[in-house]
Amino acid sequence: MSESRDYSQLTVTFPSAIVSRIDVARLIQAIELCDQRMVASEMRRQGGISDATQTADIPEVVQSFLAANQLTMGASKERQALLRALEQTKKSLPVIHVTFAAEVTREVLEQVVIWLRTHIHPQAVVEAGVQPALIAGVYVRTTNQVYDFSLRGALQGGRSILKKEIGALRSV
Amino acid sequence: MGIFQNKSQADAPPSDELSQGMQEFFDGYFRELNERGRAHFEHEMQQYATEFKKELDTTVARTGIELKSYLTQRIDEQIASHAEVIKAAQDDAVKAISQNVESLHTQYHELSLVLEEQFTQSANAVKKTQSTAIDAMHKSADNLAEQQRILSASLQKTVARQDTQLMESFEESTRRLNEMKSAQDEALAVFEKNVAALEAQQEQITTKLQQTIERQQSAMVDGFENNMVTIVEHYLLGALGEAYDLNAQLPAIIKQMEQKKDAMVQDMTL
Repeated sequence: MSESRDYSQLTVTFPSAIVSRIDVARLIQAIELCDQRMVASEMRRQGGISDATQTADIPEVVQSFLAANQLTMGASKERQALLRALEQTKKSLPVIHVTFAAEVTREVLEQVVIWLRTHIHPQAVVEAGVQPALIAGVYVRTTNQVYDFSLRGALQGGRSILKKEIGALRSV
Repeated sequence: MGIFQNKSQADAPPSDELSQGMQEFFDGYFRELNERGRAHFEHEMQQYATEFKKELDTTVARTGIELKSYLTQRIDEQIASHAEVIKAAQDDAVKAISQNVESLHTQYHELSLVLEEQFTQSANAVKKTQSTAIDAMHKSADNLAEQQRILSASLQKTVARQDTQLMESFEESTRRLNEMKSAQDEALAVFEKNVAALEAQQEQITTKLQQTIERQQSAMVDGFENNMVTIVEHYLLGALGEAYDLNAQLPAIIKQMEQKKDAMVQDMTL
């Protein structure tokens, strides 16, 4: 982490492992914990006590986050600035609600998030839900719009065609 | 007491034993005397009672005989005195009755005289009253004749007036009848118009009813078709139910999202 970096202007990029707003909260919590450990370690070192805290003790999600944003765990002041920037980002995260027809796996969810961050918004987070009545596909809700990509929606869209077919059958 | 209660008393002195024996002797003597006295007294009392009873019976019998003779004598005397009193009273009553009969005869004669006089006066008064009444009746008959004449004249006048009024009323009725007839003709014309309007309205209603029936029929058919669509959908969804794998769907989902990408980006950047 370079000392001259301005964290107030930092545009955070989240790794694919951070999917939802809760994941962001957990990330902040993990960075806070690392910060506390590192402060304690520094104090022990200053007191002449040997300390075994290493970079390997930093959780994987934090490491992937730092890597994605080309950051390192620098001095305590910088970590605090990073935490403030993350808290600020968390308040304005663009949330996209995605409802699946069945229980979704982490891999699928991450692929959806990658696509959304690539094409829709770089900081987009997903709130996943399950609605078996959709049968297949998804139901996406952004800030002001709803997009029905489900099979049920598709059937309802093709309802007029089916009705026409039934009418034709009745007349026969 | 306790320890000495069973201790025997000291023997009484000899003087006490003597006095006790004398006491017992005198007690027995007095008791015997008492019994003998009482027997004697009872015997004497019985004798006196027997004699007293005999004397009392004798006295009662004698007294009864004397009382009976006395009472008989007194009753005879009383009856004799009562008979005298009754006889005297009868005599007085007969005397008084005869006196009353005489006074009644006298009163009868007096009353007969008074009544005869009153009858005579009454007959005179009746005759007088009858003549007065006949005079009054004659006067009344004259008055009635006069009134009849006046009434007759008045009646003639009234009849003439009523005749005139009747004629006027007849003319008025005729006029009204004519008016009614014309009004009836107008009403009939209006009625005929109404009938025509009703017939036209009925035709319109019939047309509308047919249109409504056709519309309802069409709506029912639409409903049937919608229901059929729902049934088919339901069947289809049931059949497809769990056949889909989410991993397999992912490319299709992303493809669909690609189609709406611009709209989503626009919404998220607002």
